[in-house]
Amino acid sequence: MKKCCAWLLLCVLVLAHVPPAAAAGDELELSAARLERGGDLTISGTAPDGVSDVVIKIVTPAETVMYLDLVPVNDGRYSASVTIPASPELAPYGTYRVVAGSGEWSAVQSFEIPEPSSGDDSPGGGDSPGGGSSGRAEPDRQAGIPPQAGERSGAVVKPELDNGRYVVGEETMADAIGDAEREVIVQLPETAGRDGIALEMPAIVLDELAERDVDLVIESGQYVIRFPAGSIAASAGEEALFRLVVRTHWDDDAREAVRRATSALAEYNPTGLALSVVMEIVRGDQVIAVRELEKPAVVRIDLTDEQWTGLSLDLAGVYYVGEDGPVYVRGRIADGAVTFEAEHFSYYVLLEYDKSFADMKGHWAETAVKRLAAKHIVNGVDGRRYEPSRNISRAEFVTMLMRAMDWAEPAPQTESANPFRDVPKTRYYAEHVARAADLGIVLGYEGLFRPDDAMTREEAVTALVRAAKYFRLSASEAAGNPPFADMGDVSGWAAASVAEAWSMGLVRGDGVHFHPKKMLSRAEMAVMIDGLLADLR
Amino acid sequence: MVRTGMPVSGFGGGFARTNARRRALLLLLLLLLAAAFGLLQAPVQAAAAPKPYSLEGVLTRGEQVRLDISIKLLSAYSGEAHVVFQLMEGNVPILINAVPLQKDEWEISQYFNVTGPDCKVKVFVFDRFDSDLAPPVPLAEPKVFQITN
Repeated sequence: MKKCCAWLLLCVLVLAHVPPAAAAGDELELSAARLERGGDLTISGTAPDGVSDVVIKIVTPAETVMYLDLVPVNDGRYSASVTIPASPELAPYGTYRVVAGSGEWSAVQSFEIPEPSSGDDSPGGGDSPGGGSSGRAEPDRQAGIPPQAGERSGAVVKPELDNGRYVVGEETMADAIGDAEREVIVQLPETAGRDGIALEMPAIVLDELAERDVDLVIESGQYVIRFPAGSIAASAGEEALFRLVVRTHWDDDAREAVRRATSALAEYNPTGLALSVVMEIVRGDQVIAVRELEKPAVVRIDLTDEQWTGLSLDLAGVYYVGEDGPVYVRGRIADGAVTFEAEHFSYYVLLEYDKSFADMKGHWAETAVKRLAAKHIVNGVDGRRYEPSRNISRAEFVTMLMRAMDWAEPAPQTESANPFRDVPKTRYYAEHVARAADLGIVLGYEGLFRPDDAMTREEAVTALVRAAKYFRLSASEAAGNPPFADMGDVSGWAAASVAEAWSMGLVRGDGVHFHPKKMLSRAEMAVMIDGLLADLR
Repeated sequence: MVRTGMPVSGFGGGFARTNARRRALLLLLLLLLAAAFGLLQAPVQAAAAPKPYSLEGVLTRGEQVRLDISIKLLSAYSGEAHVVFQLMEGNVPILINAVPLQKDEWEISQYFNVTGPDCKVKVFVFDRFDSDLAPPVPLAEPKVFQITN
């Protein structure tokens, strides 16, 4: 009996130290799995022992936070009631996730605001549950911007914080435009960019800027965006509002966007720099997203010391993160800042593209090819191989040269007439050859370009020197005559170009000979093009 | 026969005492079990740990409703902190935004133009403000300010 009692007591003591099994399923309960706008949602559940308050968060399908609260726990239970906004802007269709948690404990459930299978879904349309019986109207935000909101000093405006957004009034902007010679600068605090706080102003201001040919410059701590006059097509009427939300914070959204875009592309590495720009015209309940710009905006983002020192300038590039993966955007990365032009807005990120071709490992031209690949000037022959020793064809030469020129200083994309009978319009190099001929970089042979022919080194250098003026090269690096022992073998029409290319540091030969009649290899071409871009790195 | 030779009263008295001890022991065990499981099942309302920031606010009604928020760091905390404003109209969340705290003492003013019924703003301090599915850590006792009734 005593033994029996002892065992029972032991069991009691052991049981007393075993936490009760979590009651799966009742940690977080939602009153509905499907809701309509304006519908009520009750969020409740049982909190683990020791939890005194529970954080509740609702995340929209657009990955924004709709609701955040901290509710107390009473008798082990917590509860909160939320009414879904009637506005499509605040409550888009899709799946919402509800998080309840505290410390290490959290539970997630989801509900859906389903898109109507038919009928009008225009913003503010009649799809609100109960026919809008909630009787709740969104605040009249446009009317909420006082005409004189914001401080102005000449053409520089500082918006004021109002209702969780930064606002500038119509009169303030009109006065600034009146004082502007070329631009109106709107200065936002650094926190606006880091946390994505909206800047709002009457949309009619955009029309005034266009009429007066004045640029709109948005400055925050880390970025400057210049919208040339007329770049944002507004004309939305006097009641409309222009909303701009810029985020530069490397947050989970940015990480996820990059992960999605590069998941199958191991050569791309994020650098921790992202820019997200959302532009909207808001008129009453209508929200119109503005993505395309009439003229490209110029964006400059200042890197932190940590970002700058950790960056490989040879490999870094600006990319637009689209649905089909990263799209390279020509930009300049120098002096601790990234500058690029954006023709449309969404996500832009700074990535490092470390392309390794199987036949370039340890090659003397490997660094040059990597640099050109990171600028998307060379792609290799099949994605895996570069074929460095193969003679470059005239078509390949011109294509690589014109891509490099576009990267260095984009020329206006004019329609150039094709002067060559042997360059079909359908070939990948046709446009490059036509533009190169238009600029006098290549001449051809009596109406023929001979695209598949190889090039001698002296032919290549002659074209290279003709193109060099488009690359903003620095002054001559070397004076005097080239020291090549075989200069006597250089054709008379190429001698001046070889001397000039040597003085610019574009050709070095083997240190003794130039080998003017030797065919140019793809590796040699990469090193020459890389030399042309040296001053731009 | 030995047993039958024993006094009936003696045998019967010993049996009764043993049963009484057993009953007492069983009762004690049951009480112990009940106490242990009762302790386990009863919700333990641990006192919440003090939060590192204090949050105070003053609502001023003029042409616009102005909310002045004052935040102070009370104890050692060196991580990120964001002050979050959740504007509610009844139970409808109509606006939410956050401003990162960069100083140990910080004041911020917010203006509100809402005119609907039962508008209030809830102010929090959390360590994060993002769409991550891990809950943020509250760093101050939240405050609710009634804007309209």
